[in-house]
Amino acid sequence: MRKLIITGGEPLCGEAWISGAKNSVLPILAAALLADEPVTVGNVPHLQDVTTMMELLGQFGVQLVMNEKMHIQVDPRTINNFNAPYELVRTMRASILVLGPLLAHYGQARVSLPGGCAIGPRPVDLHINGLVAMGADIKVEDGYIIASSPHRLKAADILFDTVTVTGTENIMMAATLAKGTTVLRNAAKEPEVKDLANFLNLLGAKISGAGTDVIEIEGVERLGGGTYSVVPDRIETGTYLVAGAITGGRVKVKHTKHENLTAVLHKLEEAGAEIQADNDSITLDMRGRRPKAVNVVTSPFPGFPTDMQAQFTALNSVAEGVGTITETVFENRFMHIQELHRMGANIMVQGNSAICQGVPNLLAAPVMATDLRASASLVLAGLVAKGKTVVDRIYHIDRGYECIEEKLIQLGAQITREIGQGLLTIRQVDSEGVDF
Amino acid sequence: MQFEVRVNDQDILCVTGKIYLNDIAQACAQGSALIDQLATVRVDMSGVLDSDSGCLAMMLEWLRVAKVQNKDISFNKLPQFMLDLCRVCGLDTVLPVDRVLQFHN
Repeated sequence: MRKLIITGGEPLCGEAWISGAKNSVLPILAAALLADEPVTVGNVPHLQDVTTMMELLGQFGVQLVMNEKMHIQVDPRTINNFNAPYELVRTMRASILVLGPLLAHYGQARVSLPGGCAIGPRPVDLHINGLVAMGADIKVEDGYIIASSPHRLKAADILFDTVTVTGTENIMMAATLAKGTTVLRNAAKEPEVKDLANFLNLLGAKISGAGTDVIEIEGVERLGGGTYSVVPDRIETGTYLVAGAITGGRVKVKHTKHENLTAVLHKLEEAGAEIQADNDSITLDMRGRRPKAVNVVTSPFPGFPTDMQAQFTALNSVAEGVGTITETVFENRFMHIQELHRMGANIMVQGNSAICQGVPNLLAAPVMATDLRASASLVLAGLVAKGKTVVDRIYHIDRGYECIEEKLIQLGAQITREIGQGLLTIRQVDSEGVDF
Repeated sequence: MQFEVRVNDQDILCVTGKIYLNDIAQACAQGSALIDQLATVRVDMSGVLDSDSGCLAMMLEWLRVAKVQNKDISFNKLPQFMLDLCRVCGLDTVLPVDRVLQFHN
């Protein structure tokens, strides 16, 4: 079992680069299925979920080629089957994103239902209902969504009951090749949705309104090829900024976009950080100060992202005062708190809120990662705790953070990865992230 | 054709030029035929100017051919971008880069 071993207690000081957004690249790779020509996707993070998506596309017979910079060329013209098996879908819920493109382009798809999720229910009903409204014939049999459409999908006016990012993305992709103009209401406004729309428009789609809650998609006959670079990962950006804040340090993150992180930056300023942002970097400076506790309520973009909640719980655990984190998006997203208790945090959970009385110091302890962002919060806690914190089950973190220990080393952290019996000390990487 | 696969006068299999996925079937066949003629397969990759993961597929195929023929094989002098590509694809521990993988009895 792989572990991260962190010797904490020192302020971080340094610079790190930000990778492409996982939540952007996965739908974009799925959207490549809509094209009639090869597409090349750049700024792809080297993550387990990306490998899984490539494996899934490869399973369809799609030809994938990559270079040493993680530019992935997808040639969908060799596709020869439309089956997304449970073995792959169960390891990555984003696999459901192939449903819309397969159905719209090839008129058929057989995609396993994703199954349970640790942080709460994420039903796919909204995806299915949207596609049915567009004329698809869909049934669920033996744990699989079996979808077909003998004719071209037709446009529809679709109102989502709740805001769903992957639902918006799936229907938006399907609508690009549908006949007529589809309107999505109460659509997700996340930057990753906008990035997907930008990618599809590059290929010849006609999408307007992405980034607002009403998206219009005028269907086209076909999509061509092109080269696209995905947006920087706003959650990774926020996580490294919190790493600076929690340790009272000064960190600069590069190759990122501050405009996609407004709510998080605002909360970091409230916590006492000095923030400077320019075109492609953000600098956070705590000037050695202990952070102040902040109150956070998660909500869909442009609100405070649920994917940053656990990191702010860790921040509040060492902050001055009392801070409350209220989770409104997922039901079961406080699993990291039991582990933070083991490090000396004083946090009380009441319903969907975590009330945290900050303590001056956390103490190192062996802890166990339970999901992706919970893992990040434990690493952050380890950075500020005195002694050696061992974070177990880090395969969760490898799903969403590219080269996390290398980047934290760049920021001045003492962190090593234990693989099996021995310890592997990771080499320093250069500022462009070329050598990993 | 932007690439060449040949055996030099020191019985080293040399790959040169730019070699991409569309070239791989031809390169694989050429290299496999040349491997038949060699007792030990030493591949000099220093002349590869540009490539993609298709080249790794070619190297894996030659590895397989060498194994079938019980011949030792090594890939040497990979350019830095090829080493990076091996690492990104998780093949740096699989392909015998700058080391000999022994298949002969």
